[in-house]
Amino acid sequence: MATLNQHPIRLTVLGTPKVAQEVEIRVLIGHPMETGYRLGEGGNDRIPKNIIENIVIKLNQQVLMNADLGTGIAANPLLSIFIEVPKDGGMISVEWRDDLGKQGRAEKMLLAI
Amino acid sequence: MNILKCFSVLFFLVFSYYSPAQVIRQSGNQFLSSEMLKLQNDPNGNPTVLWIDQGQELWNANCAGCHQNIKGVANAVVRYPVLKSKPDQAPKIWNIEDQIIDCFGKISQESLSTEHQNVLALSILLSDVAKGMSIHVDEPTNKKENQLWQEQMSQGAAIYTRRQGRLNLSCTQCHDQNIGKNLRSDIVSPAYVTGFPIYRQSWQTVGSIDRRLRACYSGVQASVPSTKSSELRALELFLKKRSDGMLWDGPSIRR
Repeated sequence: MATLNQHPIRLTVLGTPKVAQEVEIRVLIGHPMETGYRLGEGGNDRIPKNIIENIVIKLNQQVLMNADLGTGIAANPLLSIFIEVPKDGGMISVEWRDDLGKQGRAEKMLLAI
Repeated sequence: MNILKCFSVLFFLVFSYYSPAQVIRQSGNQFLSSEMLKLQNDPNGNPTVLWIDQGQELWNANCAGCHQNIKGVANAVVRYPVLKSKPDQAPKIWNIEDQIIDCFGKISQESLSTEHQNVLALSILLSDVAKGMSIHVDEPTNKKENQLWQEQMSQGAAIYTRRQGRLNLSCTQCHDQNIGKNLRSDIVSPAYVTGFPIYRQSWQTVGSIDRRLRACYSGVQASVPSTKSSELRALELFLKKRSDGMLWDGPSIRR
């Protein structure tokens, strides 16, 4: 059986990307966001903390957002930012890393009209 | 006198138009808050799309080789649970997760749990494809099988109306007699099976119908049947048959 990508990611651009107009960039990541406070099966051991520590959204290598998430964020986080569409559009990329050292990334071309 | 006659005819015409009170069956989505409904209908915010993506990946890798037509397979979502017999086993009720687990067993020789990520991902993909199909749970035509099916059905009905647990409540007391009222901060919805698996925000993940029913058992503080038990299957069969003719909602979001 094929091994699944444990952390699927969806990167979407909402709105019409007209130059100098606002569009919404949304990132939805499949991640358990384990707080480290919950107890395991027998009620004895804590489930180790595993949250997305850092997430960066870039446009053409220029950082748009750099966020350190906390344990208060629920599983499968949905983040969204609004940006102004630059003249030539560009490549939007998202990168995240969690406590276990796992990393994920996604890219999407933003074509300006 | 003439006027009176006229009136009585008019009354008759007006009131005979309305049929006596009939039960309007509503899906659980009708009882969601507007924000939840918005999230559910938003393909860019709804977390179940992540499972759908995974399911599609699995489907392409493992299933598409034999099953060419995903729509035909997804038809099972609205037809199941069904009575099925394997050569070396007594016939029993199978739901869609059982079928998926059985199929995976042919590939990898292991019996997965109903909450396994692969099982849920595939189940949710099929559920999504089946969106809009009409539920029809048919009884088996074979006489012997039909009798067994009927037995399971009545067992399900018995569970539905049986008082149980430390709260001494039956399903029907909330899900028939108190629909639309508040249970703490939630609104009680009628027990129609129109959209599973569900993403529950309190679970922070997707769960099968087994998990949902078990949560109800623990809610009334009754002894919780194990997953894949025949008790849960009988109850699911009864609930699905109640929803006969309703439209399938696809994977749903609940609190």
